[in-house]
Amino acid sequence: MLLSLRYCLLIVALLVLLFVAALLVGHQTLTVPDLWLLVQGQATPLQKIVVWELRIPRNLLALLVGAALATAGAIMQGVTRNPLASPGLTGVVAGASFVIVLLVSVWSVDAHWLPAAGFVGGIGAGCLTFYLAWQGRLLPLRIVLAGVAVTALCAAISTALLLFSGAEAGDLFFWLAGGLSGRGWLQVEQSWYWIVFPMLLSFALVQRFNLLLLDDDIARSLGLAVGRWRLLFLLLAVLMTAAVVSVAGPVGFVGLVIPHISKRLLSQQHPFWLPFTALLGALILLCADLLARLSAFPQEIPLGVITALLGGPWLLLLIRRGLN
Amino acid sequence: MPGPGIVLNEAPWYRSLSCLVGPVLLFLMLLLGCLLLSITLGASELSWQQIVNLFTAQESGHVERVVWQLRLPRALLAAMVGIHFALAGFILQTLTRNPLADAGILGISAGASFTAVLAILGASLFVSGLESHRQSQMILGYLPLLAMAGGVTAAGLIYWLSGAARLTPLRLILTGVVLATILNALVTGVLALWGHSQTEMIVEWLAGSLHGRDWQHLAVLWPWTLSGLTACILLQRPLNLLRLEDDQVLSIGLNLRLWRLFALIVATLLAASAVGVVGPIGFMGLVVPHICRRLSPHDVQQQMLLCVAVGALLMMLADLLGRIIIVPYELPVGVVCAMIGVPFFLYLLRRQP
Repeated sequence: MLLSLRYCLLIVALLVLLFVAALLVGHQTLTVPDLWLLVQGQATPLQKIVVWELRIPRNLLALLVGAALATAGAIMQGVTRNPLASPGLTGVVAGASFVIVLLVSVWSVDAHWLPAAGFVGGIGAGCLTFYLAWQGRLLPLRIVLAGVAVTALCAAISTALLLFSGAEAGDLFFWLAGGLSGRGWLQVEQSWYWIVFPMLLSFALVQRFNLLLLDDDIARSLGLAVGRWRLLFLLLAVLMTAAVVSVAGPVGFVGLVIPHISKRLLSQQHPFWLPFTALLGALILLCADLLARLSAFPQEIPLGVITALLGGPWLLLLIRRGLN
Repeated sequence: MPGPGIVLNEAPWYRSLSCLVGPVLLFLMLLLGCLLLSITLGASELSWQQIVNLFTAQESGHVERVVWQLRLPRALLAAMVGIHFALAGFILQTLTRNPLADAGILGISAGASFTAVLAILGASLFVSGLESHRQSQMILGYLPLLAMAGGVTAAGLIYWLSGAARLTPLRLILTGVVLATILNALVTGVLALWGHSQTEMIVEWLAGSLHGRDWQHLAVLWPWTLSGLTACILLQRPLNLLRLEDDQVLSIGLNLRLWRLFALIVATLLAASAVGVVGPIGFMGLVVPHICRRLSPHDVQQQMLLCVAVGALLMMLADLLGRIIIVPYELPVGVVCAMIGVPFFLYLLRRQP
């Protein structure tokens, strides 16, 4: 208990530090005294705009995205009992991408509507997966197979559309690579409640989640309506993932890797495991976003590349040591 | 001795082949039918009469060009590529004992894609000036070779990362999946960052297309097809045994590491050479082995032969479908194959208890 408290404090401290650092560095570099002046309201207009309109919303969005992906990944891996499950398993990511590619390439829809459309597409794909997998109850293997089918369908049509989209293909690829560049308060406002409320609900229902980690029969004998709770948790994960994809694009590996890291630091049965995983996810994504902004300055590397390069080798190492 | 419940086919090789004369004839007829359909149908309408005239040497000019320069090499290439993907998928599924393995899932296609994208972008970045077009064309001529090298490198990396000689099938497939995901993320990222004017061309290559392939590509591919088929003849008996648990294989006296490595190399070369020529086409290597195992549940030799036949036919049909579905545009064969994947997974879903 003491150890976990120490971990939490350490992560929170790191988060605060990184948040401040991410406010300072960039094209317009600020110093700590500058920031102090800003808080007192005496900074130059340019500095105000840079911090309030660009960096703070972007950092907040990074925290939200990281926490949501990590929580959704943890739920997916726990509920399907598959250590390689990721938030995109239910076809949500492919569904959202498909709708956005469709709207941009066929009707050239205004960018303002894309997050909402992506969200709806993600939820739709998730529901289609559940519908296909449903057979009186929801079995993990059936979810995986149905998810692959839905993903294949969406990905095939997206590819065909990309081919015929011509000039829009470049922009679409930037979106498909995932990232937070150019996202602001608008995206935070559009997505925060879809991320925060499902996350808090999943934290509150942690006892049910811990039972779902067990074998079906054991969970049932302990008085849990396994099918119903599994569906509820998957729906929460679908909501969070769809919200994330619609604002940040498909950012891979976070939902896959973070639960494994947090499993090493804290027991999965710990009542604060899910919040802890979310914190860890927020920290890593903030770090990755900072890297994406700085490592090829002044150009920006897509966030999806950074997370793949950070998370992939770690996962390979885990496999080499033997996945539990 | 093998464990209970597993039948090892110890009959001499010609016995299981002798009952195949009928099916082989059927396959050849189907192949011929498909080939004729591929030659006749398409954006430029040709009548049967014109085709007949072509073979009696009474037709020239337009028809001759369309048939000999465009449609015939393309259909033949489709058949060859289908054989490559089907056999590679069959070997990989047997090797990993996992029904969902194929060249795409195991990272071979992703490795090839990554090098191909780098090659195309490199060709446009480093070559500039008046000569640029001609020189980048020259570099593109090496694309099949470069992509193939990328696929082979990825497979080598996967083999090494999953423990080389101490490799287990599970670790092989996990490493492959993760490496494929990393490489695909890199491909998207590289495209987003530096794609610019080349994006459309690369997207077309990444979708897996037979568009514009001619005799030259066929000439690049056929040595690999031939050596792959030869290697498969050598592989059939060991492959039959590799289906068993590791302990059982060792107790039968098969050199497990050696044959596993050999099978992996054959599958890699088959898949990587095909990806190099037509781009990463998914799902064909996944679906065909399942069809073949269903047609002939026990005999590995028959399954392999069926893979050759079904792979060739299905790929040819897929390409034909892609060509005629939205005339005069073309749906890449990779997209059509992905569409085939959807009902396949629904079928797997239905078979679940």
